[in-house]
Parts: sequence; structure tokens; C-alpha cells
Amino acid sequence: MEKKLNQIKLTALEHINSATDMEQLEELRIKFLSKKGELRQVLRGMGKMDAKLRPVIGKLANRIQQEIEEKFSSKIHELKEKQKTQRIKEETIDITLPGKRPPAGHIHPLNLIYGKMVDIFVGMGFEVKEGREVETDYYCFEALNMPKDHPARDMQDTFYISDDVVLRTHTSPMQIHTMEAKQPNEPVKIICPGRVYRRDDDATHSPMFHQIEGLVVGPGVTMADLKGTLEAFFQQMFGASTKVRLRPSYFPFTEPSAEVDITCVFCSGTGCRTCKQSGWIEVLGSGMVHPNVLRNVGYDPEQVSGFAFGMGIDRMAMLKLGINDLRLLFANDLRMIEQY
Amino acid sequence: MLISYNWLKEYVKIDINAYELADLLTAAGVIVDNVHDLNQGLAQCVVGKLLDVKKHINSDRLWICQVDVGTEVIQIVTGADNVAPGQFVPVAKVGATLPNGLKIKRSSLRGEESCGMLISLEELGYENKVMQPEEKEGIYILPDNVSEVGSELGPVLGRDDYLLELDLTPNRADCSYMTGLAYEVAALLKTEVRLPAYYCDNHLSNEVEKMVTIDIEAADLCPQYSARMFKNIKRQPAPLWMQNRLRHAGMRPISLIVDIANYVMLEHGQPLHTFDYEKIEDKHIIVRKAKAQEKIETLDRITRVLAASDLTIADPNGPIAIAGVMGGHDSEVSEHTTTMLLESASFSGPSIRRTARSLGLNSEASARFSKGIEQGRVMPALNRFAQLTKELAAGEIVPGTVSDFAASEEQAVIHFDPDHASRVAGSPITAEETIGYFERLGFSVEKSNDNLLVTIPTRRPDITSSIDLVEEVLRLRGYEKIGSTLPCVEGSGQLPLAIRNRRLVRNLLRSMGADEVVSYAFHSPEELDLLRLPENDNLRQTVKISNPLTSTQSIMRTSMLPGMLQAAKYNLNRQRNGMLIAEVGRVFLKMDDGDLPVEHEMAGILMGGLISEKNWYEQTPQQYDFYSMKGIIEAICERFHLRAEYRKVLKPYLHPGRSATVLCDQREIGYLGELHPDLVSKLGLESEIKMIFAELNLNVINELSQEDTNYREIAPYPAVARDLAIVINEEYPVGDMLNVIQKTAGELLEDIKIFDIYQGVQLQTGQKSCAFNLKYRAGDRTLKAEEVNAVHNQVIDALIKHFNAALR
Repeated sequence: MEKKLNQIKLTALEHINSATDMEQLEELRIKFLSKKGELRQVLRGMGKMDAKLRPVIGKLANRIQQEIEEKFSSKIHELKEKQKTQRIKEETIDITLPGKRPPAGHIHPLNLIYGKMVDIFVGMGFEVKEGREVETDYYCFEALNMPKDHPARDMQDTFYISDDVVLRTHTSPMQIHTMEAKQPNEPVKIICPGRVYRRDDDATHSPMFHQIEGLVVGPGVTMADLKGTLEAFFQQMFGASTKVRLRPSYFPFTEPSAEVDITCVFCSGTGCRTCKQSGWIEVLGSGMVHPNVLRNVGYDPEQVSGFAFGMGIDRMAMLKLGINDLRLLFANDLRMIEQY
Repeated sequence: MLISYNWLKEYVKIDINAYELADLLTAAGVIVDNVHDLNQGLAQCVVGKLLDVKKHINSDRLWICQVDVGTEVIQIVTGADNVAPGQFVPVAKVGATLPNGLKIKRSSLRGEESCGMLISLEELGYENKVMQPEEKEGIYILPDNVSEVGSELGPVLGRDDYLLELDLTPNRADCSYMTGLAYEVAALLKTEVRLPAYYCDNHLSNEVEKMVTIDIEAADLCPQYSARMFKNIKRQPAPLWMQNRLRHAGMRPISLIVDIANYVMLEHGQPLHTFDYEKIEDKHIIVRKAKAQEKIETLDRITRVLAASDLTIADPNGPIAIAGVMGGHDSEVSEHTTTMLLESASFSGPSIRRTARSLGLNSEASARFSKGIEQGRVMPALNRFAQLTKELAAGEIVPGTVSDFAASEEQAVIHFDPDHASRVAGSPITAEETIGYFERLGFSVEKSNDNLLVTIPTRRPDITSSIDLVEEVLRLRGYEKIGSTLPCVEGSGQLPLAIRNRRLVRNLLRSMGADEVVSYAFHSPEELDLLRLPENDNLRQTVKISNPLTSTQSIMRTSMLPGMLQAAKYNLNRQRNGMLIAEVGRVFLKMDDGDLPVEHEMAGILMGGLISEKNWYEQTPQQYDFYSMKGIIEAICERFHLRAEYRKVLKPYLHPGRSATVLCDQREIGYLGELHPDLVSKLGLESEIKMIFAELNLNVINELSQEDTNYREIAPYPAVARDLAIVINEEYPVGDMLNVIQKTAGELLEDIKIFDIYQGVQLQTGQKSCAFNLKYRAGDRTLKAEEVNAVHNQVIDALIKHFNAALR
């Protein structure tokens, strides 16, 4: 009997070993280990056996059963691993194929820069005021110390709707509206971003463009405050090493007036074609609010002073993004817009 | 404005070079855009004399010239017809590179050797406007014996000089003429101005007074009108040095008398006008406003109709000149003129500016008058003209002058607090320093208690108040000395709702695939015709620009559509199969006359063609349709917590069966629809596609939107889903069914999805099947099947009742 049992064991282990899939294995389990399996069949003969031998044979049979079972489970594990490896191999994909992208559009580069500029000023505590694009002559010019027939009106070629109504040539009218809405001499710290229009059309002028003007009015506001504010802005806009230079200039609504240059953004001030080798590029006009402008809104220039500045958003976008023709910003070529 | 460096040096000692001067002026606010080296390109150019001129044997158009260039006689073949023996001519020798870039080489022209070139003004780099008509044709002929043969051409033509190109701000008209600029330079270099010589009458008798009378009637427009008289006017060209200076300043030399007048204008900023004395009726000059519809034939032989506000110089017969703008043809100095009246006057700048504009006559003179001419310039200019006339023997000076005055000019005296400049600069500037700057500018200063009394010469009319003096102090001190601080004014730095919402819309649109465009806010009226709008349509009530640059930019948009169609067309005609673009901008709605237009901020969205290109995971990409657009509108409404309702709408430019208005709280927030096929076919697209447009009014959305909403608790109990499919008449809109389902199911209904719409062979014609998935849930308990069934059956019954539906 012992011989038989050992024979079953050898056969079983051999078969299990050579099984290649789960079905085969199941057949083998039924063949060797089920109630009608070979092992049990052999053990049925134990009753006729010597009582002394029974425990010995019983022990042997248990050990053999255990050995076969262990072999089964290790084989199952082995086959499962094999299956898994196979599946993973089959599931391998070409990760160099392009992805399935959800639809994504693009913000116009002009508005990217627009938002960035507004955010810098908001961070500096400026309130944002937007106004009408179609304005009266009074708010666009007269209140800003530019009476009719003033030679300075030639500086801004104007689109007229009627004798008294214009497309605003700058966002300065909002300075007047804002101060008019306040108590006399009440401090002001605003920027006025928006769309403006001038009768001009070439590579550096567009009949429609965008501007941000700033106005700060309060007791003891100085020209050094103007310079410091602009430095803070341009250093956030173009980098901490950006320098700001003021040059005397003229605007009817400011006195003293200053043209403002910054370190050339293309050559960092070493001199290049864009800055005509000067290391500086002109970026905005500014100055101390003219006393007449303050008087026009009921402020007392003896009590308060202020500064104002205005710069083109489009020009900033061109500098920031290296665009050399202003008209490209309004051509709406998606091959350009989709770069942003 | 072009300023000769050498000429300027006659009036002020300048010990720095032209480039340094340019930097100095620019830093002081007198901006020099460019410095031109006039001597460039004149190496190897000399004065030559034509010894012999012969026709070329092999050519009708060429001449063979023997030219004495000092060191030798060379042969030059030229095509210029104005050559003759004995002439002095500019010669470019072999090796020269002319200002226009032309390189001179030894060459052979039809068998004849040519060792240089005779040159024209154009080749010397002059513009057409500074040439006489004959000078535009052939080579430039120099005056006889102008210089030794063989001498360098540069000095002869005044080209050993630099031109400063000024970009003057309108307040600094005082720097637009030589002597005025000299004062500025003197202030910057801490030196003195040297004025030129002026003629002074020696005779006691004033002959001019006996010959002419002057009356200013328009006292408000002409403070002073003065004149001198000249007899036996010589008819000859001005000396070359004067011609050179005029040319370099951009003026054309004409004749000695005219050139002297222009020279004095450049020197003193005072335009002068000459009249033929014999043509002045009654020898009586009247400065008056024109009568309405009064006519005058101007120098250019055009008859002009004047407005009642235009200032004229008249005699008793009528206008003989438009003051400060252009002379009359009849009174013009001609070759027959022997006696000449010279006008020097001060006119009101705004009046001249208006007249010049309305007549479209912009001259050097009118430009100068427009900026205002102080009376202080009037007499010096007359006397300087007389001086030059004497020096150049251009005519005989009649002793005396005649003037009429309507006003006298006073020097401004300004009370100046010496601390004022410090307060503006934010750093201390002493009174002594301040006074020093004023003295350099030629302003006289007196002390009066703690204040300064500053007297401003009339040549600086831009300085009228204390703040103007502050600017003078700061610019002479140098803006670079201004410090850098931050203002003490605090601000809240908040963004208004309109901007926040605009950004939200922009970002939403981007996240849903839209490319943002920026179009001009104006377009042509024809673009509205393309929209098939009837004559009285609201969109045709446009704001019109009275002086547009082109008719394609003449009306302000009333809709975002025209500009976006342009953008779509541009891109679709550049090999794109589809696009989704969006734009946020304003439209302008015309109000009654006198009221400003209403400006609405709109978001326009335009889509068409393929949603995506064919790709490896999707062989047949979808097309944009009405529902693609509706999905975007729904997403925007959801973001602003708006409950939108869609109703059919008719608009001329939209497909009548595929357009809807979007309502929230009974207010229209916008509309959407497929573009009318007629409109699309007229667009001029290379291949026709369906396009869908939507426009949302952000002003209305801003009013209706809620920024923050309360949290809705998430129910912890499971939902029960039920599907239902019905067959109904195809005419019924699904929206109506959804309404009935919602109303009937009540609170337990959490969500409905439509998962199938079917029309086809399995159904009768005119019928459709709609399949819904309903999700029921209670917030406070787990729903029981019976409960759900009861509600669901009610829903089915209601659908059957309302729509005559059959359960499928």
C-alpha cells in the first residue's frame, strides 16, 4: 500500500508539474484529490490492514495529500502569475501616440498682458475704474486743460461723432469722472484701463488700441512718488533689474510732465536695434496733475497734489511678447492667438 | 523741424559737438530725434568747371564733357541736358559714394570713357520739395565763381554741418526758430545769446506812414500789424549760403526777396508776407473778419470761399490775403513789382489754426501762426529783413515803419514760492539754486517778502503760472535728480464686478475651446447689409464717425457679429476646417440726438465646421451645431447661477428654425442660432460650412448674476433610477415634456437625462421616440420601491395625457 501511495504521489506531482492551464489542473485535482480520487480509492483498502500499520499508512497518506495540495496551490500561483504577465504584455500601448485632449481655447495675448498689468496695479492698492468709450469733448479734452483750438489737440488725432462727442483718445476722462464723484480733495488712487481711439494707422499706430492710465491724488504727493510707483510697476512687469528714467516733456493735463523710459527689454540696456543703441525704450507719458485739472473738478491745488501716467497696453504686449507689428494684434490670425 | 548746428552757433557759443548738444537738449525736454551728418557721402566730390561739352557720337541723349577738377581735366559722359561750357558744377570723382548710396566707378558709355559723374540735387540727397522745377531735371548748376575749381564740395554747399531733427512739444514753439532755440541752448550751457544785426532807421521822417495806412478792425484776432516798404526790388537768386540754409531747413529757395523773408522766419519764427504795393487799393490795409461767403483767389490760383470767422487782410475792395494762411493771387509780388509792402503781424493762434484746417491749407507760416506769435517778434523780424535787404542789396529801404495795435503785450510776472519746486520734487532745492535757474533762462527775479517775483520774457508764452516755473527748475536741475518713493495715498485695490465677471466669461470660454479674438469696434455700413437687416432694424441705428480714416471703419458696431465674421472668414480661408472663436467687447447703441450712445459689453461666440481634426482615435470628428453652442451658453449660465429659458426667435441673419433667445428672470440675456444660409453663402468662404453665433449681454448678466450661493446638503440616502420611453408626435418639443415631468414628479425627482431621441423606420411617420432616465431621491430617507413607482406612474400618466404619448 505504501508503494501504491508513493506511486500516486509521483504520478500526481509529475502531472501537476506539466499542467499548462487551470482546466487541466482542475481535472488533475478531481483525479487525485476528490472523494472519488485515486488517493481516496487506495485508502479504502486500509480497513483490511494490520492495526499496527494503519497509523503509519494514515500518516503517510496525509503527508502525501498535503504534498500534492501544496503542489497544486503553488502551481495555481505560478499559472496566475503567468496569466498576469501575459495580460500586461498584451495591454502594453504606444505611449508616444498623442493624447486625447479636451477642447482648450486661448486667451488673446493682448488680454493676457492687459490682465497682468491690471493685477500688478491692484496689488499696489489701485482701484480700477472703467468708463465710456464714446465721450464728450468736455471730459476728453476741455476738463483736461485742453480747450478747443488748443495746439495740443493736434497731438491726438481724434475721431469725432459730432462737434461735442468723440471716441475717447485716452482713458483720462475717467480721472475727471472719478474726482467729480468724490468730495473735494478726497484722495484718489485709481487706474483706468480701456479701449481708446486715434486717427492713425501704421505699423506702430492703430486706430483702436488700449491704455492704462493711473491717477494718484492726495496731500503732498510728489514727482518722486510718481517715479517710485512706476519703478515698482515695471520691476514686476519686466523684472527686478528694470530701471526707470524720466525726461521732461509736455502734456496739457500735467505740469511738470515727463516722458518715461525703461531699460530696453530686448538688450537689458546694453544697446540694440530696437532701442537705437541707447539702452532705453520710451514706454509712457506722465506728470504731476495740472492745477487747472484739479480746479476743474473742485479740488484745491494748494491742498492736494497728484500724479498721472498713461501707457499703451498694446505696446506693453508687443514688448513683452516680442511682436513687432501692432496690426498683428488685431488681425485675429488664430495661428498667432493659439500660441498663447 | 531741422536745425543747422553751424547756423545755431552764430547766435550762441556752443563748445560741445552736435551729438552732445542733441543729448543735452533731449534731457531738457527739447527732444532731438536724430542728428544728421550732412557731410556724409561727399568725399571725392569737388567743384568742377565744364570746359567743353560735345554730343556723344553714338547717342542722342549723352553728352561728353571735359571737366576741370583742379588737379586735372577729366572726361565725364552725362545724360543731363542742362550742361554748357563755362558752368560750375558739382563733380563726383571715381571712388565717391554719394549720399543716396551710388558708388562712382570708372566706366565706358557707348565707347566713351567716363571718369566720374556730374551730380544732381537728388543724388546729393535733397528732397523734391526743396528743388526748383528745373533742378529736378538735370544736374545741379552752381553759381559762377562760387569757389575755386577743385575745392571740396561740402563747404560750398554748406554741408560741413549737422542737422538736429527736433520733435517739439506744442508748448515749446519758442524753440522752433534759431534765436529762440539759442536762448534755450544758452540756458543749458550757462552762456549768453548773441542776436544778429538789425536795421535801424536813421531818417527822422517816416516815409512809410505817408504811403500806407493800416486799420485793425478784428481787434480780438490781431493785436499788432506792422509793415515796411521797399522800392526797386532786385530780381535775382539769393546767395548760395542762404539757399543752402533754406534747403537744409526743408524750404525751397525761390528768389532773393522771398528767400530773405523765409530766412527771417526761420531765424525769428515770424512769418512775413509781401504784397505788391501798387495792387493795394487806396493804399489802405484793413485787418478784418471775412464776410460770409466772401471769395478770394489765393496764390495757388484757387478761388476760396471764406467763413465769417476767418481773418483776412483786405483793402477797400476786398480781401487781398487770408491772414497767416495764404496770400491772394492779385496782390502777389511778381516780376513786375517794383514797390513792395512787407507785413509782419501777430494773429490769434486758434483763429489761424481753424481757418487753415477748414481750408485745408497747411503751410510753414500757418503752422507757426497756429502756435501763436508774440508781438515781441514782429518788429525785430521787420528790421532784420531790412538789414538783410541792405546787406544783400536786394532793394531800397523806404525809411520808417507803420503799425496798428489792438493790444499791447505785457511780460508776465509770477509770484513764486521758492519751496514750490521742492514740494513737487519731494526733495529740497534752495532758493539760491532756483534763482540761478531762472537767471540762466533770462527770467529776471526780484525778492518780495518770502516770495520771488519772476518776470517772464514774452518769448516764453508757455510760462503763465507758478507750476510752469517749477517745471523749468526741475528740468534744468535734471529729472534724474528726482528721487523714488511710494505715495502715502492708500487704496483698496479692488476689482469691480464687471471686470471679475468678464474674466470669468473669458476663462470659461477658453476652457470650452474658444480662441479669443479682438476686432475693431468699427466697421463699414455694408457689413450690416450682409446681415440681411431691414432698413428700420435696431442694429442699423449706428453711431457714425464723422471723420473716419476709411469707410470700412466708419460706424461703431451694434453687434459683435460683423467683426467676428471677418475674423472667421480670415481664418477659414487659411486652410482651417473649423473654428470656435469668442470676443468680449462693447457695442454702441445710438440714442436720441444729444444723448451719448449706450455702451453694452457683449460676449460674442462664433463656431463652425469640424470640432476637431480627424485623428487616430476618432475617424469622423463631429461638426459644431446648435447644441454645441447651447451647451456653452448653459455652462455660462450655470457658472453665474442663472436659470435660463430658451424661446424660438426670428432674426434676419439667423436660420428661422434654429435660433433661440435666452431669457433669465424674463430678461433677455442673449440669443443663439445658426447663421442664415443666405448670409453664409455671401461670406466668400472657400468652402461653405454651417456657422452658429451667440451673443450674451454681460451688463444684464452682471445685474442678474449671484456671485456666491449656499451649499446644498448632499443626501446620504441612495437614489432610485427609472427609465421611460414614449412615442409622441414629432412636433412636441422635448423642453415641454421635461417641464411636465418635473412638475408632476415634484421634489423627489433629482435629475432627468434624455438618453435617446429616435425617428425612423420602427415608428410611424411624424412620430418620435424619446427616452428619459429619471433619478429619484429623498433627502431624509431611503425611498421605497412602491413610493417611486407611484410617482413614476403619475409621470407616465401625465405624459400620456398632455402629449397623447404612447409608452414604448
